[in-house]
Amino acid sequence: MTLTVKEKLDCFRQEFCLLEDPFSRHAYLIELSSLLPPMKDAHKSKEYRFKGCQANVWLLFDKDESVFYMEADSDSLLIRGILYILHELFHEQPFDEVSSFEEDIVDALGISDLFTRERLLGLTGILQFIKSV
Amino acid sequence: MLNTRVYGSPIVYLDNAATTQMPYAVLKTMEHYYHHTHSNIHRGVHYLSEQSTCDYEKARNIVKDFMNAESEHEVIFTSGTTDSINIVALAIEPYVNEKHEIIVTEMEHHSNYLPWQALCKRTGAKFIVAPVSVRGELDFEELERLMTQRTALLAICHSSNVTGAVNPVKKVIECAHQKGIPVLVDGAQSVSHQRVDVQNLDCDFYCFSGHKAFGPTGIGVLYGKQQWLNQFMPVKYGGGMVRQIKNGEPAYWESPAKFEAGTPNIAGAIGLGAAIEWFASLPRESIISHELELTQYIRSELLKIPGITLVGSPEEQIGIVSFTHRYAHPFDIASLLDKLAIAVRSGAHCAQPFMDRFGISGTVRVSISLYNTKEEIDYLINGIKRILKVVDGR
Repeated sequence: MTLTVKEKLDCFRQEFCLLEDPFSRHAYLIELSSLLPPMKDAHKSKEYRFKGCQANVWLLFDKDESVFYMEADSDSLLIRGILYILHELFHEQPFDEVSSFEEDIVDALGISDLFTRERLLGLTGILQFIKSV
Repeated sequence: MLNTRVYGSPIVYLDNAATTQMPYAVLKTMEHYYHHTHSNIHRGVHYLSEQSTCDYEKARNIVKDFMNAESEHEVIFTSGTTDSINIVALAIEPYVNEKHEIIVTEMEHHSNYLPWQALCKRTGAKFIVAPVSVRGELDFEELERLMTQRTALLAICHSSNVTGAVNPVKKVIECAHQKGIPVLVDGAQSVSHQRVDVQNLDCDFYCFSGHKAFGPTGIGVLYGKQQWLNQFMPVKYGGGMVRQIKNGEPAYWESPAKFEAGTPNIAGAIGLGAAIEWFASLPRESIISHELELTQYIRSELLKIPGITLVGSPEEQIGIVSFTHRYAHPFDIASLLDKLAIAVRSGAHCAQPFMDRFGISGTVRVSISLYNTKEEIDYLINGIKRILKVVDGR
């Protein structure tokens, strides 16, 4: 059975809840980074580069009539970890569900303390970008 | 501040190239100013104004002595190094045209790069960037070749904010002056690590910021030789810099008032004076040798960690060490170090031309000050090893 975005987010929330200190939560993101499906090298181009992050971030979104598709990568392992979560949440989900998803993911995962204000703005930008597709 | 705990651990503050911490003497002086003498300077006839003016001008004298400037007329309070450089770049504009060239180096902070590039765009002058070597040092022979009769000014940092490389500014200035070229030295990174004697250096301009020299933010210094400051027109206009306006025509005060239009950062200047007074009272040679020892220790310990590359290997260096790792991004390393209560900086450090020269997008920068210890460096090195274990274990 396919889980909804909200149900998937709850799973991640529970996993992050088990990690008590910020270092462990960061380390967990690094662990998750290796699970992000590889992005085609040809897609790591200027066209798909997302501006606003200290590290390189590439995002490619697509949709057909009803499904949202996402490909992403970064040269930062922490960002890759975040991108993996976003990929798990949104990739191949019904498009309507993605575009209407309102919950604050950073808050829901309890990871706002992992990033500085400037980095959070970058992450918020990515989320807004996803929803604008 | 250095007793602060972050994420439950005592902070290890290794971001001194961005901002140094303020000693109690500075906080106390500024608190006293705000509690007892806070008022506007120079034009008041009342007690508080007179007291503030005295304290403000005393701070200028402290800076003058610290830099060994010839006169207090050569010491202008600004909002920081960036402001100081921009003031010179604007003031010198009438003397620059399309036949001229301005030289900066590849190791400059954007603050000592962009104002000159903008000046060249405005005047049609040629903007020249002198190269640095693979060691991250100034290529002196090439710089010497680039300096010609067409050069209107050379702008160079005393020390690199990325590698800590110390430039041979005295030699550079000597060479520039032989060709009649004025030199501006960006001393932002140097004042808290090296002795600065502007008369000995014979520089035309020297700039630094309070917050990198144990003082508060929002205050800085522009030293300029009187011969330049006397001929420059003001670049900011307002109260305090004009002697009189007769028949609608203004007559300006001489420097420094000419360049300090409006109400200055009085508390900041007084705080900076206290910071310099405190710093100047410390045994400088022991500080220099302590910082050198720590810097060499950081370098040698980092080099023992597989996958780490030091950026630059300058012969003479202040307490700044930059490094990269073969696959951990600087952002990842700095973010994880933060979670271990270690403050370092990652990114391009406002030195994009230097990053391009080395073909990298950024580094992790460790920058020390006189209050850092060997134990803190051990904690940093262990932290980096712990992070790389996480990265390797993916």
